[in-house]
Amino acid sequence: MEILGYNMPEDLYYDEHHFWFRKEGDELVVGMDDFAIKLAGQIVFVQLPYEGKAVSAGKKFAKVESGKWLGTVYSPVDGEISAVNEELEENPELINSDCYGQGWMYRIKADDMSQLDELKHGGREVLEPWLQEDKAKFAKD
Amino acid sequence: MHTQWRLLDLPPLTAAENMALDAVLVELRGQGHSTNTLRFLRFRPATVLLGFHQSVQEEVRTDYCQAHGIDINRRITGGGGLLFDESQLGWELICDKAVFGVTVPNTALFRRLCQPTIAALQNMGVDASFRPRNDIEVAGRKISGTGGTDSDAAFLFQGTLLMDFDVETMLKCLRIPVEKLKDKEIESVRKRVTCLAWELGKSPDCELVKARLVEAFAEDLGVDFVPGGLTAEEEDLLAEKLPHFQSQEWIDMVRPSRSRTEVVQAARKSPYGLVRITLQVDLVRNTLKDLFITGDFLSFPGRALYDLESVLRGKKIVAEDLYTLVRDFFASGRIHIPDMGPEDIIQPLAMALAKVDIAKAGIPLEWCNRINTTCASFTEVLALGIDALLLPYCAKDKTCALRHEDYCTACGLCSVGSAWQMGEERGLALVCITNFEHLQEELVRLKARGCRAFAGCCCQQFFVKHAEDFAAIGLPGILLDIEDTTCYELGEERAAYKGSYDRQTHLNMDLVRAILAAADKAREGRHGTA
Repeated sequence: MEILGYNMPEDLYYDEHHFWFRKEGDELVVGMDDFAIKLAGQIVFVQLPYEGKAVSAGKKFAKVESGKWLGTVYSPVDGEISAVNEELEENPELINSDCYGQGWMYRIKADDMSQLDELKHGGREVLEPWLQEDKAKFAKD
Repeated sequence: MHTQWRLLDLPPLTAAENMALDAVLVELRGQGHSTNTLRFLRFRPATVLLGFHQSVQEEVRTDYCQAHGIDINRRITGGGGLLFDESQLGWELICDKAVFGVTVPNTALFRRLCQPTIAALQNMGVDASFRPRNDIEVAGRKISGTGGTDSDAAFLFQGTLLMDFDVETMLKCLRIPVEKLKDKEIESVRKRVTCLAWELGKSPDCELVKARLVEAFAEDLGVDFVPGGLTAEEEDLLAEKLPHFQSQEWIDMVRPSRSRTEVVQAARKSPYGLVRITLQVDLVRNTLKDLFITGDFLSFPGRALYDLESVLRGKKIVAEDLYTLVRDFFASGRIHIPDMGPEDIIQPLAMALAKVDIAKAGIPLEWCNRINTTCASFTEVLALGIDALLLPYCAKDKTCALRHEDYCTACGLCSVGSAWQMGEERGLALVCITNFEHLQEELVRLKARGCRAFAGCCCQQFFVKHAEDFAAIGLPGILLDIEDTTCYELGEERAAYKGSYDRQTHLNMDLVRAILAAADKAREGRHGTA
């Protein structure tokens, strides 16, 4: 779904830092959304935590570097890391080229999927006002 | 009444203390504790500080650092490695994200955060300006870099300001590929950066610089700074975190499983000057980590070459994309080199990139700089098939009766004989080259007789000088560098040109063996798929 020039798939959940989360069974797939990528530019490094690392809702668990900015990834749920995209170690640009596909970053085994309710999720009517607001905030250059 | 921020200006600390304190300040501020802060940092002892994801083994000359009491540590922010000696000054803003109204910094914010430093420098009479995406420069020479990170509701932005610059020590601490650069080129590397001492013509007064920065930040942010110390909570968390930042586990957090950084170099001489390209390559990620474009030509404006380097730095190694960037840069009018155009940069760049391919063909990169190709890439020459081996007379024994003959009996007394024998075993056409005209004749003759490609041994200087001649004849080939003092180093190239050079060089037999083995493998591959 194209909203204000950004590709924002409708089936995903988004956090305020523009990371996306996709439900697959009892796991969540995590990545950066199109808005974040356009803001960040070339991704040069993705921290890949060990599998089995415990994560908690609202707590940071990894870092992503673009330019000289080291950004933070937060988990929306309690659970543990069940997989990381090893490809990103050698090829973090996959995030730039295919952020919803080959550029996936982590899988989290979630204890309670209802914690996702805190995130942005839905059609254009939900995502557009949010993006509109962020675009106004960020597009000062 | 302005909002009040804390001004935190502690005495010089160790790197581990400084890094732990960074983590403490941004973490607590992110949880809504403490106050917004402007902090100054100094380091004692001097420290090599790596970016968050860099590895010590790839970036630092640890032996030198240990021998000279220089600490090694890692930032909690991104970017590249730097030497933070006791004369450098760092600044940091640790503040609520709400101050800037965004959750992730954008280009405009990076630019804005450089402004106070630019204003402070201008106030001191230094004509500083912003260089996207987050650096500050004076006439194209970098004087300050910035970076940052976040934690929950807080940002940490930081910048360094080069007060003075100890180029020698920096080059000795960091694995910058200077050993590959000539003295004149090290001088030009030096010209890519500047510092306050050089700009002012005297050592800057650190307290004065701090005062100027405080004024500039106060004006930009519309706040008052009140000197203060650490809170009890910050002290406690610092004590808790310090061991981690002192630990080898933190310092060695990033340990790539295989060596990934290599340096390749190529030079091309045109009637208007020599252009040398030095590439620092990340072989795993296939990116240009860094590069230097040097030579004896003049380019305008003075900063143009450094800007061109910035355009290429960090890019993926896709030859055509890189060439396009060079062409676009010239087309945009940002660089002018008398009598030279983009192709004069692209050709040596292509030669350097060919060496990256050589590495990928399994030849150790330390040898790549001793291999040149003509009329085709390394991979293409191997794919065509090597049919001939040309060897230089200067590598024959000085007393050999056949020194100036175009053949050899492989008596075993010099390296030419060993190579000759290896060529015979493979059924290659073999020729000893006795002077430059003879080489031209042989190449033309081989080409006419259907030779697909050749391998030859000659010194680098010979190849650089005759690259165009090789290209004009049009026979694809691989040229391997030779050992020992060449006629060029002694200024005796005239004598050698005529075939009367009277010293003995030696073929690099490891290199000859490696290339012939690679050719054997390529031949098997061709037959295997035929």
